[in-house]
Parts: sequence; structure tokens; C-alpha cells
Amino acid sequence: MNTTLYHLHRLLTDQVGVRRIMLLFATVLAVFQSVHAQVTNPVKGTVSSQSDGKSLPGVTVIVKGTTNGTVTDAEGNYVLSVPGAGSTLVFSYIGFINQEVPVGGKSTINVSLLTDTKSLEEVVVVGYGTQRKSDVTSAIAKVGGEDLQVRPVARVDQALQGQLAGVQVQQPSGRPGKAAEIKVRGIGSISAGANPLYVVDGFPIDATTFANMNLSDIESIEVLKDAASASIYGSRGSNGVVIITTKQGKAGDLKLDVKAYAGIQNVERLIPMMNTTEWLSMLVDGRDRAWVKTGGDPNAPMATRPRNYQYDPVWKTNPANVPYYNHQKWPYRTAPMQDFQITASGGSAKAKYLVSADYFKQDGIVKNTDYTRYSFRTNVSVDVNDYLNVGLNLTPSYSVSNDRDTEGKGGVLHTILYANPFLPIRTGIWGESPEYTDYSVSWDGGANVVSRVENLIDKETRGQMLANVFATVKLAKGLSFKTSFGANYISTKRDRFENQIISRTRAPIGESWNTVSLNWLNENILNYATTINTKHSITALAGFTSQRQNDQSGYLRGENFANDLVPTLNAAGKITQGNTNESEWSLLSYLGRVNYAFDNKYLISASLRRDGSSRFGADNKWGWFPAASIGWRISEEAFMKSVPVLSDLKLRASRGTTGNNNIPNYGAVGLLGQSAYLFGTDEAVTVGMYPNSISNRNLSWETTTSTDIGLDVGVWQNRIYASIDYYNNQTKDLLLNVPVPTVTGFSSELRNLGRVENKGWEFEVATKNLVGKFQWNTNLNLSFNKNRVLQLGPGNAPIIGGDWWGQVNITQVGQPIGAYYMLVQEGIWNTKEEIAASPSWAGSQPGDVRIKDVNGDGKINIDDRTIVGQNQPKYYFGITNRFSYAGFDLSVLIYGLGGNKIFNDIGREFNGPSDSQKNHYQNWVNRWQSPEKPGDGTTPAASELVTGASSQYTTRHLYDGGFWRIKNVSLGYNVPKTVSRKIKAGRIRLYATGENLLTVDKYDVGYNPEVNTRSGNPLAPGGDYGSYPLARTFILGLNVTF
Amino acid sequence: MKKYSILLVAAALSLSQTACKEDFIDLNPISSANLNSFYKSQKDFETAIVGVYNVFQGVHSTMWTEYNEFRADTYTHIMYSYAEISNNTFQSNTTSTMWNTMYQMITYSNLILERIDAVSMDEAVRNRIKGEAQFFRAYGYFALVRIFGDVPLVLKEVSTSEALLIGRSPIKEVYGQITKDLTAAIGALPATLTAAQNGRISKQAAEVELARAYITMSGVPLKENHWADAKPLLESVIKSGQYAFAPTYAEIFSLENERGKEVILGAKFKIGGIGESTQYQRQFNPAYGGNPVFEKGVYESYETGDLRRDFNIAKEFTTLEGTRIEALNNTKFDYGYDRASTESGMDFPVQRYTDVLLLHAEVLSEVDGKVNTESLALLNQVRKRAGLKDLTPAQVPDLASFRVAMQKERRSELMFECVRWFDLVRTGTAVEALKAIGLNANENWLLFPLPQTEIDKMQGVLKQNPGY
Repeated sequence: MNTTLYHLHRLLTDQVGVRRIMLLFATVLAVFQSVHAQVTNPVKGTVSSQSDGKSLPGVTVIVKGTTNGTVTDAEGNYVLSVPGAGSTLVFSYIGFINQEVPVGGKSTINVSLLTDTKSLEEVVVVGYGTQRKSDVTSAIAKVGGEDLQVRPVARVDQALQGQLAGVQVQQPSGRPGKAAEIKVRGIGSISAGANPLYVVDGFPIDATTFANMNLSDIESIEVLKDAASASIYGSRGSNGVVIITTKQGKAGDLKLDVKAYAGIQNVERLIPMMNTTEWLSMLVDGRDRAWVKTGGDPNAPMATRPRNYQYDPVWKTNPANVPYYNHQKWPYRTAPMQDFQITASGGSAKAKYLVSADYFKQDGIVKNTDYTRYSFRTNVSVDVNDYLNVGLNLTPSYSVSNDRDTEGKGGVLHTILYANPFLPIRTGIWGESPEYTDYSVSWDGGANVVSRVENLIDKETRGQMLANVFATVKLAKGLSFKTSFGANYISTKRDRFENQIISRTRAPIGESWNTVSLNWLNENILNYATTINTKHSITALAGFTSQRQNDQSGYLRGENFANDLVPTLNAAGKITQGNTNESEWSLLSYLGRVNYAFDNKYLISASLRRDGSSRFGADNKWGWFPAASIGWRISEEAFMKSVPVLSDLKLRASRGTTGNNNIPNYGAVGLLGQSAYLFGTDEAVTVGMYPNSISNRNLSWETTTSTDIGLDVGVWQNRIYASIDYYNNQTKDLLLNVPVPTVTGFSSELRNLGRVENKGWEFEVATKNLVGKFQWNTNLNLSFNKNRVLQLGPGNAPIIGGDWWGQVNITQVGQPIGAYYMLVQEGIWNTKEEIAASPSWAGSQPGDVRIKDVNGDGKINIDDRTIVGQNQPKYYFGITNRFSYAGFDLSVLIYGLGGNKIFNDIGREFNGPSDSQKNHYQNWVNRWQSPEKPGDGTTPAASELVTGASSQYTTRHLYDGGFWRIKNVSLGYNVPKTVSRKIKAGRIRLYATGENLLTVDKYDVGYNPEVNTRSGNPLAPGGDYGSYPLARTFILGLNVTF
Repeated sequence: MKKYSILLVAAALSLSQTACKEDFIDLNPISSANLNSFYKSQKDFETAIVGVYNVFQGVHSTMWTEYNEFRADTYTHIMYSYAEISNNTFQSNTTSTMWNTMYQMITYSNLILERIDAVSMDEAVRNRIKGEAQFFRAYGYFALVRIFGDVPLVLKEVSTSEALLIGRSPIKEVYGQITKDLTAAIGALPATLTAAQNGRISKQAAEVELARAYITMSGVPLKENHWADAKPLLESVIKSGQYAFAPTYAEIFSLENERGKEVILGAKFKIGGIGESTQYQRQFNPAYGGNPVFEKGVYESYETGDLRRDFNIAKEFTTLEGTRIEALNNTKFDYGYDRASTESGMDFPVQRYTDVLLLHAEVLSEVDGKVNTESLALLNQVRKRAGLKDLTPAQVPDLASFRVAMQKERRSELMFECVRWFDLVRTGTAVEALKAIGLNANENWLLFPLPQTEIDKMQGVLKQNPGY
């Protein structure tokens, strides 16, 4: 790894290095090289565009039939030695038609190239190839790299938010380097994950490798959404496929892009908690109420009460005299973030290269948290001769992140919220007050959270190398063969050390995790393209691929550290736990696809993949994944020519099958457990083994059959371009651990059983509102999805989800996966008479919450829980507006969603009637106090003795999750060329960017409406047990191109 | 053409790496032992059969007592499944533990029996392991048929979908398989065990189990006359000369003698923090934290002067905290308990020589249809060791009075040894015995309820026993 970094460093600092790489390739493949032509006389000239007469830099000029060639310089000039007068020069440039000119003894040959209207058309990357956008008959969403690069974010996944219809990007956490969650067209799996497949330049990789890429390296991202586009990825396609294409060098002079930005971040918002006076009022109220509830005399001396019902009389008489500290602010800071990168690209007629290096550092808005990444890329491709092209993509990266137990239950950001507001954060070394020893500050299992933020070591490093070499051979006209071999190596390590200050009464504890993963892939693809009689256009591919991954992990835990001096495990007095694990998977695939177009009007495409996987059961090793799609370009029909306003009109329909093979590596194989028995008169222990889990020889992928109908409409020369898609994804064979008859010897089995469906609509509209000097473009995407479970395990038994303290999610037939399942609150009981007159939760008192008798049985109990909403949004949208005028440009991205709810799980700690010595949400100012002071009608009475259903999770803890957010505003200024030339730069751009500028939502008791504490568990989504808030970021940046 | 040579090289490369394509995608777990790589060698089968012994061991920690002495007129309890079993107040899945454990024992045995013949190994070892697996399969079904009645008869590895179709086989069919397996086991198992093999299933253990099966088949509910079938089996055990009638009752129940000549088959336990100890005392001995309650009449069931009464039961005990409590306490099985580790290494006697003698006595008379003199002699041999006077022929003039005397003797001799409930059932005296201790029992109580979860899982194929 280090050696590689060193070499890359050399490459970046030494232009010769790039040539060295190309030389290396040329040497390796010299065996295939033809004999070099004899050099005789030079020919020079200028190449220009016929349409506007402007000179064309970077045009490839080759002596036909040789490997001898050059490219035009910035002014379009070239000089080339040709072997003789009989030679022919070939001029080629992307977007223009190739032109051949016989030399015929001339020494100057000027050429003007014709625009190729066909190739100028937008190209879409599809699985194992590319397609003209007009030929696409399936549902593919595309975003260009330049649209993502305005975003100052750590990860590519974050930049995708709001860009594409049907692609939901959720950012549940603002922790630097933390993953976003991507779902394509809803959730089609309960236990096999909803992550799409990520493919970088043809190499399927894991989500983190994708997210750790340098945004600036990305040329485009395409998302294959329907089966017709994704089924070429077979058993991995059903959650959608995200295809990332990186930038390649272009022939021409060296181009150097230098980009830098820096900025600051702040917490987007704080949660309204009570101040000291408000909190003391609640304490006094709740303790008095509890005392009276138990039959106590309110006028009796304080000392006669149970200890937890007592309070300091000054709290009641003069609370304003008690100090107030707003602890919530303590962990946050104004944090810097910066990015610096340099990209060198260019090439000759035969070799193209792109080398980039990126340094990104984001300090977290929570003290002592950060994320730093170094990423590099080398893309090289060489035309060895007129039929062979070889290339290499090399992407090393290294990242370090530091956390301080910020998130989740017991995390810093959760516990700091309930910190006692009248005690300073540092009272006593552990945070407890000498005066109020009963009312500790922010305790988390013995340690003051402040000490965690200041002392904990929790560092995660990730080193990675993705490398792919490939060769393409042109076998005959239209027929080519591409073979590639690649590997992705990832090594992660996490070290954690709780020193004496944190662990307090225990000795320090050190832990270390590490993983090593190697994935290799070989692909062999045959491509064929031809046009018959100018009307029949056929492209076809057939391929064979094999992929294998090995994962190793290890864990060590050390205790009995003598002191805090050395945090690594060598200083541990005792290694108390340690284990290592290794597992593998492999995948063999055959794939094929045929596209046929008649007269550019009638399009048909069919693909087929056969996947065999080590994960599948022995009787189900191979699966077929077919798909077909058709398209009708109505606008090409003669009768449509009379409607000139319609520049494009295409109807598409597709149907196909994809799979989700994300089942456990060895889920089909029965495992053995170890046991023992005693033999012999000495009762010697003899080890035995027994089958611990059942083998399921039929275990297979989850299968999704998807149907997509789409319409693409372009109006007024595509000034308005819209796509509408309707889809219906039916997923069956869901992986479930279901009870099985014990006569098998086992009580449960991993089986393919359940069914779920996702149906929805997607709209994408791109408009050029104003053209000319002042330009205004709008891109809008809007998606609707409806998720419904159709079948579960035996008897369709519903699956309850959540943690033991709050089982508030249910997955049941007819409802979305992980729907909220709770008691419905109908206000607050006012009087004893009210309670007596109607059914109530056992023991209810005035001031307790009133629960709806949902099942109408005249009793109020846990059976009255019902489905009260879902966390999956019913719709989500993104709007980007871009304006430009005289060198200035402005873009505004707004993202939003709705129809979902958030479960404020954390409310069990500071949204309940008992103060529990914890500060509470500010809505407790408006609690019920008496029939005359009923408060907000939702918040019950404070009472240290909890009665009735007041501590139950009712709809009081459920919040509307809809929001919209001004995600990004970027204002740029392109320095005029007259100025930039003075410093010998091609292009200079200055810009300012703001991220998360405004959020409009109703979730006032949380930091972030996108929160999802139990990320990765679709059975219990949308819970909030304390999350790392998103940052509001302000950035200034500079891009210079030389 | 060179370009085709490139194609050829690439094709050859990709083919060579995946030439055996089925092998390429046939991966087995690296970090966990698994079924695909197991059952391949003699060593694997030797390890696999230990896994079955482990189940057998688990049954005899506390479960066997729970399903026997608590169901019978020995123990009751105020809590847990003990109370449910004793009072017939079952929750829906209480019997899952027994059902699941026995089907595990059967499944593990099936896997061995199905696969062992395909592996080359020492024939003596193969025979022994097969015999052991046959014994344990029969042992499992014998337990199931006595506890649940008709049960699904599974004799090979079954998939989930196959299992869903397997209903309950009639008792007679289940017994047919039990006798078949045990007969085969007798032919396959060694007649003598080396010191290192102590604790393994011997030919004699299989003979005793088969005799027990025949005797049970001769009583309720099957009532087929198999007494004559049991006779040669018991005689073979006696004639083997490997076992001996201990001179005193007390010496049998000690750590020193738990592997002695009285014991034909014991479930072995050992202390030492290695997960091999029994929970018996922690559950059933009040002095060590257990809290069963004696049914009325247990203490009184002993004749005056029976030495076994005071050996088996004490009228008071001292708790771990040192409090003396006046209540009945099982002192028969209180050895082997280590107070420091709260573990116990007491082996549980599953087959005892005295039981063989008593069964032999019962068989002889039942075969003859009248009180056999040798029967009476055997009975008196047991009584004499207990300090009791011989029964005279006049005291047991007919088969009916002999049967009563025999069951009384078995209760006294085999107290807490988990034969009582099955004796009560097969002799048709269970309901009457339970009524005598104040339980409103009926014939339905002779069988336990099937676990409701199994009935649910089998979607109508399994039917619950009557009365539940």
C-alpha cells in the first residue's frame, strides 16, 4: 500500500511517471505490436470544426494502418511524420465524423471535421456497455458528475440526494464519513438488505468503496431501476444497480485541474429543552403529585416523603435563583472542513491517462470527531495497435475517522440532552454535584459523557485498493472482445480505548477490530454491433464472468491496563476476548443481451443472465434472470412530423426478473455445534458434534419481477423534457427465519417464503426556462412509492420489531414493512368522573393519557395497539434550479419528502411523566397540571409515580416526518479568460456554497427528520435514539484549470 | 492472427480458473464446522455419536425426573413446568422441551445411520456406532411413545416440506420400530466394555431397554402379551456375569460406586466448570436450593423397618444459609454436589441391576400366569437387603396380589429413579394413584399434551391428544 502511494506521489510530481506507465504497458504488450512504420517526411496542418470554423484541440491524427499518430495542440495544429506519399491520415474526434485524407505528397493538410449528430446525442451507461439515450427502453436515471461536484460532502452517496427519481437517499447521521442509505424504488427485502449493487467502471463493489470515491473523479452515475436494465446483473439486481463511470483522459495537451475549498460547519439546530426554572416547576409538580397520589399530605414536612418525592423548597419558592446551564451546546463547535485536489489528464493519439489525488478533511461539529480521506486514481488506456486497446484503472484510498460514542442509546448526544440544567457540566471529577448527589449529570453507565468526548479513543482506519486491468480486441468489423481482471482489497481497523477517567471504577478497557477483504473479478465480454440495410440496427453481447470474495475479521479485547499511558492492547494486563473469522462467496455468471432497432422507431431489447452462487443451496445453485423491453419512438413516425412542437416522444415498456443474493454466505449449509460427553471409568471429556442448524438445499436468492411503463416527452427542441414511469415490483421468496416442525430435529430454518410489493410513479422534468445571456434551467424529480407486504412465514404471523423497551413496529400482510404499531392517544384525562365514565387504562388518574379503544372491546389495554403510520416516505422530490449570467452561476437544490412518521424513541427518557432526574423536552412546560390548566392537550401531568398509560409509547411519541430542505446553494463566478490567461490558466472559477441552509419540518424534538437509529433493520425503521445532527456548512472554493 | 491468439489466451485463462465450475461455487464454511464437511470419516462418526450421548446426558440432568416423578405420585411443585406437569395444568408449549430434545436425539441418530455405511472404516467401530445410534433412536421413540402416545415416526433426514406431511404413527407402529432398532443394536453392540468404554451403551443395556419395551407393550395401553419376549433378554443380562447385586442399598448411591457393578447404564456427570455437571440437586434438593414438594404418602409408602426409607428421604434438612427446616428431602441423590462451585458430578442411574432382577421376577410370574417361586425369591432377595422380612407364598397367593407387592417393592427400591410414572401407566394404576393424592385425574392424563407450536407449524397434520 505504502509503496503504491509512493509511486502515485511520484506520478503526480513527475510527468515522466505517466509516460513510464504507458511505456510499461507498451512493453508488456509488445508481443502484439505490429512492426513500426518507417518515418520519413513530416506533414503539418490545422484541424477545425466545419460548423463554426473554430480550431479543434485534441483531435487524434493517425497514419492509417500504423500505430503512428499524434493529437492536435490547443490551437488545433499538428505535425506528424508519415512514411510516404501513399499514406493516408485518419482524423478522429469525439462528436465528429472520422475523416480520412490521402497524403499524396502534400506537406500541409488542413481539415475541417463534420459534426456527428448521432454521436452527440446523450449516451447512457448501461450494464456492460453504453446506449444512446434515444435507444433506451428501460428505466435508467442519470446524473452527471458536474451536478454532484458542487456539493461539499464527504461521500458520493450524500451527493446523490435529491438528484434522481426513484432513488431515495437518506442521511440519518451527520457524523463525518458516516454512510447515507440508498434505496431504489422502495424496500423489497426484509432480511437480505435494501442496498443497491454498486458498479464502478464495470467492477461490482461494496457500498463503502463507492461512497469513499473522490466526487471529482466521477463522469456520471446511472441508476438501473427496472428489471429490464438491472437483470443483466442477475441475482444482484433487484435493489437496483448504481453504475459509476469515472473520468478518462482525453487526447490532447496535459490538462491540470486544481480544486480547493474550505469552509466551516455548525450544528443545524438544537432541540428545545427546558431551562432550570421550567424544569424545577415540573419536578415540584411531579413530586407533589406523586406524594398526593400515594395518599400523602401535601402539607406534611418534606422529610416524611419518600426520598424520590422530596425536593429542595427553594425550587418552589425561588427557582429563578437556581443557576441554569444550557448543556446541550457543550459538545458542539464550529468545525472546519477542506478539500484539496489535483487532476492531471491528457494523452496522445494512442494513450490516454488521468491521474488524480484528493485530500479531504472534515472535522465534526461534535468536538474531537473527524474524518480524513486520501484518495487517488490512475486511469490509463493505450491503443497498442489498430485492434488492441489495453488499460488500467487503479484507485487507492485511505481514510481515518474518529468518533466519541456520539450516537445512539447512551451516546454523548443523547445523554447530554437530559443533563441536569442547574449543575455545571463539571461538578466534581465525575460530574456529580457534592450538594445534589442524587441528581447526577449525564450519567452513562458510570461515566460523565464529557469525559467520553475528551478522553475516548475510537479510531477507524480504512485502506483500500481497487485495481482493474482490461484489454479490448477488435476481432472483425463490429465485433470486439473485452477481457478484464480486477481486484478490490480493503483493510479496516478500529481501535477503541476507554481510559481510567471513562471507565471510572473499572480498569481501562481496550478493544481492537480488524477486517481484510479481497474481491477479485474476471469478465470476458463479446460485443457485436451492426446495421443492416441502414434500417436494422443490432447490438449484441455475450459474456462470462467470475467473482470471488474472501473476508477475514478479528477482534481482541484487553483489560487490566495498569494505567492510561498506553492505549494499545500490548499494555493490557489480560486479553479477555479474542476471535478471528473467515468467510467467502463466489459467483459465476453467463450473460447475454440483444438490442434491435428498426428505423430508429421500434426498439426491442432482451437480456438473460444465469448466476451460480456459493450462497445458494445445493439443489438451487443456478438461477435464470431474463428481461425484455420494447420502445416506440412515436416522434419518429411520419404522422408526428406534423406536430413540430413535440421534439421527442417515446413510449417504453419492460418486464423482467432480478434477484437479491444478499443472503448469508453459508445460510444454506447446516452448521455443527460442539458438545461433549464423559467416557471411561475416569470420565474423560470427549468432544462431540451435532447439527446445530438445518441445511436448506433449496435456499436461494429473493426474486423480484418488475414491470415498468415509461413515457419520455420532449417539447420545443427538448426545452422541456419529461420522463414518467410507472413500476410494479413483485418480490417473492423473501428470506425469513421461520419455525419448522421439530421432527426435523430443528426448530427454525432460513427459508425463501415471504412476498412484498413496491408500486410507484416517478416524474423527471428538465426545463430550460430561459436561454440566451441569462440562463435558467430547472430539474425536478418526484417519486411516489407504495410498499406492501403480501405474505410472511407460516400462518402469516406478523413480525414485531423494535427494542425490548419499545416494540412499536409491525410487519404484517397488507401493510408496509416495519409500520408503526402503537396505542392511539386521545388527549388527557381531566377528572376522575371522566375516567369512571369510559373505559380507561388500568390505574389511570387525572392527568394521565387517554387511550383510544381501538378494538372496541370496552377495555383499554395493550390489545388496543394499531397501525398508525410508516417511516417509508410516500413521496420524495428534488428540485435543482440553475441560473447563469455573465460568468456568474447559481444553483439551488431543494430536497424533501412526506407521508412518513418518526418515532421519538428517546422520549422514554425525557418525554415521560416521571422526571427521573432528567431534563425534559420543552413541551413539558405545557403539560397537564389541572382541569383548569390542561396544557397542550397531549402532554400528560408530571408525576414521579407513573400511573395509567402515561409511560406507554402512544402516538404522542410519533411525529410527522415530512420535511423539505434547502440542501445546497452554490454561487460561482468564472473569471474571464482575458484575466485567467494572464496567469496562464485556462479557466478560473470561484464559488461559495452553503449546505443544509434551511429545513422546514415538524420534528421539533429531534435534530434530523432523516434519523434512523436502527439503520439496517427494516423491521424497525425510523426510530430516534439520539443522532449526530447534520451540519450547516459554508464553503469558499476555487477551481483552476491549467 | 494475433488478435485471435489474444482471444484464445483470455478464453483459456478464464476457463482454467473456473474449469470445474461447480467447484468454484461450492464453498463450505471456513470458521464453523458444518454438515457438508462432516460425516466423512470414522473420526467424524465417532464425534457425531458423542453428540447423541450429550443429548442423552441432558435428558437425565432434570428433565427425566420432571416428566416422571413430578407426573407420578412422588413430587409436586408450586411453580414452573414442574407444577404444570404435576397438576396437569399445561401451558401451550411446556412439553416442547421433551418433544424437541427427543427429536434431536432421533435426528442425530438418523443422520449417523443414513450416512455411516457409505464411509469406509473399521467394521467393529462401524458396528458399535450403528448399535449406539439404533439404541438412541429407540430410546427417543420409547420416551416419546410413553409420554405422547402416537408420534411422527421419522427414520431418515427429512426436509421441512417432507416433515410437514408426517402425521402421528400409531403406538403399535412406533413400538415396532423400537423393538426392531433395539434388536439390531443388541446384535451390533459389544458384550463387554473396556474401562475406557465405561459409560457407553453395551449389548446388555440394549437388552434391558428392549425388555422394558416388551414389558411396557404388555401393559397399558397396548396390552399385547410380550412377557415371553422379555424373559430371555433379562436372563441374558443376568447370565452375562458382568453385574452384581450390591450387598447394601446405601453403597450403590455414592460417587465411588456410580460406575460399579449395580449400574448397567448411567448418565454421566462431572464437575469442574466444563459444562458437564448435573442440575439435579440444584433443582430437587431443598438443601441446595431446589424446592420440590413431596406428594402425600411417599414417606409412608415404606414398610416399617425398611432401611431404604431413611436412606432415601430425610424429614428435615438444613439450607445453604444454615436454617434447619422440617420438610421431606431427597437424600438418596445428594452426593456429588460441590457447594463451592454449586455443580454436581452425580451420575444418574438409568438402568440398575436390581431393576433387572425385579423385572425378571415380574416377567417370570406373568409368563407363567401365576406366582413363580423364583419370582418370589428374587423379590425377597431385594427385600432382605432393605432389612425387610421375606414375603411368604401365603402373603402373595395369586398374580393380583403379587402384582401389588411387586409395584410396591419397585416404588420403594427405585424411588426417584424415574420408573414410577411409567410403572403406574403400564399397570393401569396411574389414575387411581393420582386420585389418591387428591388430583382429579382421568384417563387423558396418561398422555401429555403435544406442544401447541408443533401443531401450529404442522398446519393440521398433527392432532392434539384428547383432554388438552
